Amino acid sequence: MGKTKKMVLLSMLVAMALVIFLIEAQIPVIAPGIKLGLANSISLVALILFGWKEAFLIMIIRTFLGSMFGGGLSAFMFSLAGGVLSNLVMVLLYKYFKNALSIPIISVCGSIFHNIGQLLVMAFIMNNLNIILYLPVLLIAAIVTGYFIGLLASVLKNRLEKIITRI
Amino acid sequence: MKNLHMKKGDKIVGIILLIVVIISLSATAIYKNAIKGTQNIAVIKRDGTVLKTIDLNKAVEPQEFTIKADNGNFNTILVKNNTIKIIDANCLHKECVKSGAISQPGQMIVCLPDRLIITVEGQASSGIDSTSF
Repeated sequence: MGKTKKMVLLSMLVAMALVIFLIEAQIPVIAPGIKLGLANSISLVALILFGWKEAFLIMIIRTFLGSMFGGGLSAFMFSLAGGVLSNLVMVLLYKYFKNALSIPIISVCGSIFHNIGQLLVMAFIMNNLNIILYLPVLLIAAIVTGYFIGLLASVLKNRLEKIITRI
Repeated sequence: MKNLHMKKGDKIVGIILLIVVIISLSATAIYKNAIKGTQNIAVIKRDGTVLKTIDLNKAVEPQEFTIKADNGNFNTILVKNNTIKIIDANCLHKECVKSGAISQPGQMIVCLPDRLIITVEGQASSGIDSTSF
């Protein structure tokens, strides 16, 4: 794949992630702090199809643009901490345990660390450790949403793979 | 669709996750039980400093007040029927308003943009008294 083609593909993935992120922000949440995180499926697909650098790039650009469209600085720091930690875990798991773990399980681990990262930033900003009491709720939510995102990413990957090999 | 099949490591990770969830659930349950007391004191804090404490057991009549931050942000708080909730705020997502009313020790409402946190404590600790009075 040529350099230009790859750049176009990556920009399209960023655009997709951003649109998904903005639409998802309009959906009311069941409980504070819990959401699907559909945009993370794009990072996961980028990790599988391109590599860790591209996955990080997409996540950081999407978080930056996402907080420009709505969120502000505190939301940016908040999402970035979760995003970096979650991508890091998924990159490591994918690199070393690709053959032992299925994509949904890698995604579940990413989701869990996404929520842990956000929780830590929250405890730090609020200067309050009591926030850790939220952990069990967030853990269970992360397992459910992470599995769903992983399923989505594997379907997306199978479809995109066919298109990408043709160009 | 070979990617949707379970792989051999999935079970191990699943078991580890189950154990982690059980441990965290029981740890928070034990902690919440330990801080349970005869009193329900709502503590409103910003950046770790106490702004206001309210005895929820005595708060039956509706009482409404607004807490303002230096940058002009505000949170309107309603105390009623032994519960406390944030009814209005000028933050973007209004997560604090969506959190609803709290009344039991260990529960909390968090407003991240305003760095405001409301917790309910089971006992009036001497630390709170000395800082707020």
